[in-house]
Amino acid sequence: MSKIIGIDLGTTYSAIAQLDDLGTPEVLASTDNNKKITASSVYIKDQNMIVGDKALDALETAPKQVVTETKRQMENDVVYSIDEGKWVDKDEKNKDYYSPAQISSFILSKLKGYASDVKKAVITVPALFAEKARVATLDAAKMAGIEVISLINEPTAAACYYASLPNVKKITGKILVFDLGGGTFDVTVCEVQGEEVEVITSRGDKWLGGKDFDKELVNLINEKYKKLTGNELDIDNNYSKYMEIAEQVKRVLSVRDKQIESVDGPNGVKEIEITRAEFEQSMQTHIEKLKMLMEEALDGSGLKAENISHTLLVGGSTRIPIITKTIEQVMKKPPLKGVNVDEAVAAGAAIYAGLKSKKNLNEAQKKAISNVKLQDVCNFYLGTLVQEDDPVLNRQVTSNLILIDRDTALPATKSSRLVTLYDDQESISIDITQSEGREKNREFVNIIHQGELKFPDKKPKGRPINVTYKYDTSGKLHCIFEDEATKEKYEVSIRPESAEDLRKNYEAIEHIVIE
Amino acid sequence: MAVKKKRKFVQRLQHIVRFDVGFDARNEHRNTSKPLINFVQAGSISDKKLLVGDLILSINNIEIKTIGDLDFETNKIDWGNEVLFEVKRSNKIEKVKIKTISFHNFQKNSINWPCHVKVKNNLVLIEKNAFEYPDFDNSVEDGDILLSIDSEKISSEFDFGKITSKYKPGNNVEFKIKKKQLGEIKVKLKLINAVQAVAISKKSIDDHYLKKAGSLLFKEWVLTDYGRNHDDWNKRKEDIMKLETIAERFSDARYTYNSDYIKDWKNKDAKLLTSLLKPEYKDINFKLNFFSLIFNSKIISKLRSLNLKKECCYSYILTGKAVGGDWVKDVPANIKNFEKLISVKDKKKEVFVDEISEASLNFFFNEMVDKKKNIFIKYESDKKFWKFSNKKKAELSTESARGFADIAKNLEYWFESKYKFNKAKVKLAVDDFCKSFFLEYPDFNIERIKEIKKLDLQDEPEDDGYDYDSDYQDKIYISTSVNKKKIAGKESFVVKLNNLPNEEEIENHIIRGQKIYLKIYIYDVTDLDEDKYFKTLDNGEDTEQYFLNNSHVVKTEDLSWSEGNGILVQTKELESYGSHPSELAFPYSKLQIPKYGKRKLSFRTFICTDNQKFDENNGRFISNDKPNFRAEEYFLDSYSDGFDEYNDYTDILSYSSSEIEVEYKQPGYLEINRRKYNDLKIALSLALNQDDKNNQKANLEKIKDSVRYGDYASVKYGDYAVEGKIHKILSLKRNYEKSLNEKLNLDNILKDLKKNSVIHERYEIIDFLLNLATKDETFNSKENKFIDKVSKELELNKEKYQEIKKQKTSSVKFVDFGEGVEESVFGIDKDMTKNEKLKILRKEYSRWNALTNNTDKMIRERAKEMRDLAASLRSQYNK
Repeated sequence: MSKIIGIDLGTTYSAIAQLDDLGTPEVLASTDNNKKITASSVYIKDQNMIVGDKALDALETAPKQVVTETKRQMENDVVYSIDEGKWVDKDEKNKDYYSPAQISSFILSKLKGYASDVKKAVITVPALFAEKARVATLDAAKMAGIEVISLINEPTAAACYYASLPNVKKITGKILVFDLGGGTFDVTVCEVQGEEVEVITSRGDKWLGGKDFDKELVNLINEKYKKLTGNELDIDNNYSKYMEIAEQVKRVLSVRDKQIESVDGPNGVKEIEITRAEFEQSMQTHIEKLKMLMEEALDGSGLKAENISHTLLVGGSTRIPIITKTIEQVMKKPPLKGVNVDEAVAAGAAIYAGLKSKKNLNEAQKKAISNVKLQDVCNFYLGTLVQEDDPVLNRQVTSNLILIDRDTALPATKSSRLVTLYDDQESISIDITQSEGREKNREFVNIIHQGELKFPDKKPKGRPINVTYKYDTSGKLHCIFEDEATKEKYEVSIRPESAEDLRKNYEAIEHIVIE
Repeated sequence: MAVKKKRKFVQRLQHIVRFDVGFDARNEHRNTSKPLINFVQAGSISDKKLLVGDLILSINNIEIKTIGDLDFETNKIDWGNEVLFEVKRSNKIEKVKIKTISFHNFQKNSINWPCHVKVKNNLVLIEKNAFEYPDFDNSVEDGDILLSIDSEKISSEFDFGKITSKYKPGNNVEFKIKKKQLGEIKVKLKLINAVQAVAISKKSIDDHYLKKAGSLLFKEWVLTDYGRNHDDWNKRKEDIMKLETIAERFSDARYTYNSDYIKDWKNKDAKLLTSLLKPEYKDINFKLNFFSLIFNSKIISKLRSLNLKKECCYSYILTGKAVGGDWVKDVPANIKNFEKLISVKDKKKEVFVDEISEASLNFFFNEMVDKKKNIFIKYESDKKFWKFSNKKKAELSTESARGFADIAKNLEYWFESKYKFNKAKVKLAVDDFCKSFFLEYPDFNIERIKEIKKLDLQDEPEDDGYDYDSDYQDKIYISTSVNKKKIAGKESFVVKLNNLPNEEEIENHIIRGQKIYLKIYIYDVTDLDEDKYFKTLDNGEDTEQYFLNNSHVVKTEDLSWSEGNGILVQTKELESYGSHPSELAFPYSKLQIPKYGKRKLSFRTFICTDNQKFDENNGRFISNDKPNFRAEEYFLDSYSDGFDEYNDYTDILSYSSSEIEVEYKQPGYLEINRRKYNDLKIALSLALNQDDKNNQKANLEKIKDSVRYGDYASVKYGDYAVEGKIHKILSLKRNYEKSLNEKLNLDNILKDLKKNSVIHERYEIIDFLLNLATKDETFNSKENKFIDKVSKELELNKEKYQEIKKQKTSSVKFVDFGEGVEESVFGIDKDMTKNEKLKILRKEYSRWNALTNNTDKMIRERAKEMRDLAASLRSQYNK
């Protein structure tokens, strides 16, 4: 019988988990080094893709061929240029370069190899991953030969894992999941009652994580090197190298007050001392972001810090002392320790995978997760573009009409009635929008689908058009625009199973060896 | 103990459904008594469906425990509905369906009884509640004891209800009544139905009330289900009576005995009356009592010069009675020879008129005379009685001293008896007399009486069977009200429409080949002034010009809200099928009001046929091929006899106007000079980069293509287009030269712009400046500061401005807001508290953070930048 697994596809590290025979989630170790987390790095060596910690080893010798932080590019129209050693805008010339989905597919393929006979999986994504990034993740899975049962938000998966732990079952109430990984930060407020998890709201920053702290450290090291030698480090050409040094320093500063690191630069190797205080000072802007997002999540859930019974830590960056200090400051109590911050997301995904495919479980597994229940919410505003009067500008403007609010419990169905704009209207253009904020401005929303409802005959002004959006638990959006009188309609399900060039990518991947 | 809250009945305009069943419970016990039926009215919708002894358990599946519950649920039902009752009958639960049919059916079958009864000290006392039975009304008084109806003894209210429920309209009935003083009497009458009763009421109102007020009173009485649905109908009745104007009292006085004494007229009435009077009467102080009017020597001398009035008003003024009326004893017959008033006195004091000032005289009559008693006057007559002195005495009864009602009424008798006028001629003569007396036109004299005598005027045949239905129901009487409300998040004026024509009424017109439209125009009527209007009328000046100058239509820039001419209008075709709007909204943002400040807007609603045209330039309805100002006249004199009293505007089926005040915070369209606005826009645009001489020419090119001189630039307008183009070139040249010499003064430009632009135009300017500034894909700190200042000086909403700036700069390649202006980028003021700043920055962070997901790379990159800036600033504030 094929295995059902959960995958945490992270910015810096990824992990894969499955339910053991007793229904307990088990994070699988790498076949290379027996570690339970795998670096989300890919070393492109001709037709061979070396994934994981081995790829990081190549940073010294072939930094431009090592792709890191791919997750941050999932929503972008970019490709990786080996010549330039960075992500570049996709155009006609470079369309054959590796897309973020392709690079991610290499990572997924690698993870898939840790377990035998993996066909189906639940993959985790940041709560605020844009629709395009989610689609790219699905594409990546498909290229890796994995059928995605469902995508699940990372903090939701972590909460799910948390709720399933036998030793914390008695702790119920409002929980704040603080998920600070290598590249993204998510904060989720949920209600946990026994093994039932009900998400209330999520906030996040896709550009806030350990990597950003590393960058601050690189800048700090550079400043000190310059002070010592008068010359700056050549960061642009040795980015990965210095980032790796910074990560080492960061790890040390998580347990010590200072670290002296040998740094090689234009004036040779110098001993640079970095204190924890200096590091923390350099992070202040990021710390402020964390505070704001926690405050936002509390406001969004209508709660105060006092109402939150526990803060659950997820993600490797939560090991940094200033982070826990900040949490304590905002939440007015220290966060809960004891859960493996690196593995919680993947383990939660495995539980969710079990919930989604119970028929594949044995009796013990079924029993183990039988009480786990999950209620997720929509993490975006979903709407459509309409023409409406701007009372201040005194003219009609195109604006975004929100149909499904953020934090609406899933599955959700919402309807609204629009009308035709003018007499003899032959069609209506359809723009389905997604936004993280309550945006009215068309410039500031993402159009995730465009279409047109054509009428066989001309319609008069004011003709009612009913719009219905259905958003399911797997994040699939189904939209219907229907002429109320004639029932002529435009219907679309958004969550394409493949991009246009996906097929070609499959063909390409067949010839690639994943190590 | 829990207290059950008193339920509030929904105010309904429709007639409440009557099931015509009775319960043995007093009104005050309805909320606690069980709905056990004690009688069912014969011929009613419940007849034979509900039975005596039934206990009502539910209505339309809603549980009923008390009669109060039943009342509450009944209030929700409309006539025509089918209603399901559940009753307990002989210990079984049965379901009974009752079709309520129609209100008219109810009226036909319900009896209008002349009285109710109330039991006191075991006596069944009569409380009269109708006057439609003259025999009963004349011979029975409240408090008389009802002994029996058709020999059936009445011992209680229950008996009364039970016995009367057996009768049907048209039945004869005999009441046996014990009078308080005169012993027992029997009164026989034929029972009438509610339709007949309402018709009689209508006639009675016409007879007893001033015409306009009476009409309104009747209309509201019917609409409120004969006062039943009104919170306090008696108070409303009083309020309606107060609506009469002095002019109406005067013009309608002859129809009624109820007109007030002059001495009771209010200040505002007196003021209006003064404005109506001929100049020579202006000094009459109508606030004084009746006698001070009588003894005003100026009036007397004026009246003496008018022959006719010497015969009627003159004597009236002296006696309080007009020619032809009853003479108070001792007033000599030769009163017309009255020459001089000598003195007046009451029992205590005599005042000699010639010897005291008018002020003292007024004081005497106001303060000293006992109004309830008669006073005596001495006067001189120019005709000697025999050999006696011509000084005479007369007695005036203050109680009989009345207003013009008596003059008019007595004149009727006088014209009838002296000139043998028929009713039509009497009406014309009295009308003319009244107009003449107060308005001086037409002049009423003996020649006019002779003219009227010669006229071939026939009385209209009297209609015995008064059909109030045809008089009332054939006409369409819409009414409107307007209020402010948020519709779909937009501040709007909502016009509520009542009594729109029904299907049948519309169908009647469609049969005649007409379509029916509802149209609402809005006018600014703030400057219309009653006094000035009447003065214009008095002086025979052009009232049309007065209205043109002082009543302006509200316009719109959104052509979809007009009929292509920029005049704001809502038009709906009323079809005989389908539902009609009960409310129509005008978003505030669509209104272009003519002037700045507190304005009064009149929402004018027309129900008209498709033949009715409206003027393209000012929205007024067209009559006799020209714009008509009846709406303005009606607004200033709304208690005249209806909007179309002479049936002049046959294609206007109904009209109603409602007023509301509004604070318009921008210059009105009459106040703005469009060319000036465009000149200032050019000047401001050139001032933006005034110190950048190298690029000023390029800037000029950008501006040249972007500034349009409105309609003047359109080819459609021919010569105007050329004129506009020339003006534009001159303005560009003038301002360009100034900019080269750095002589464009931003403060002055902004000061002028404020006076010459409306709010949305100010935003357009900001939009325009931002477009200019970012056209080269950069936005520098100088431009940022400049536009910030423009926005501040033009008093734009900070958030809206920031939003526009955000939008315009979010996809620009290079943005430099300048050093130290980070706060202003996020709309932070120095004066804000730390918490306010932190709050704004969190909001900004959140907003920009969300945009890091945007599919537009430029926006995404800008968003990351702005997000970091907000976080960095906040971290500094939060230290």
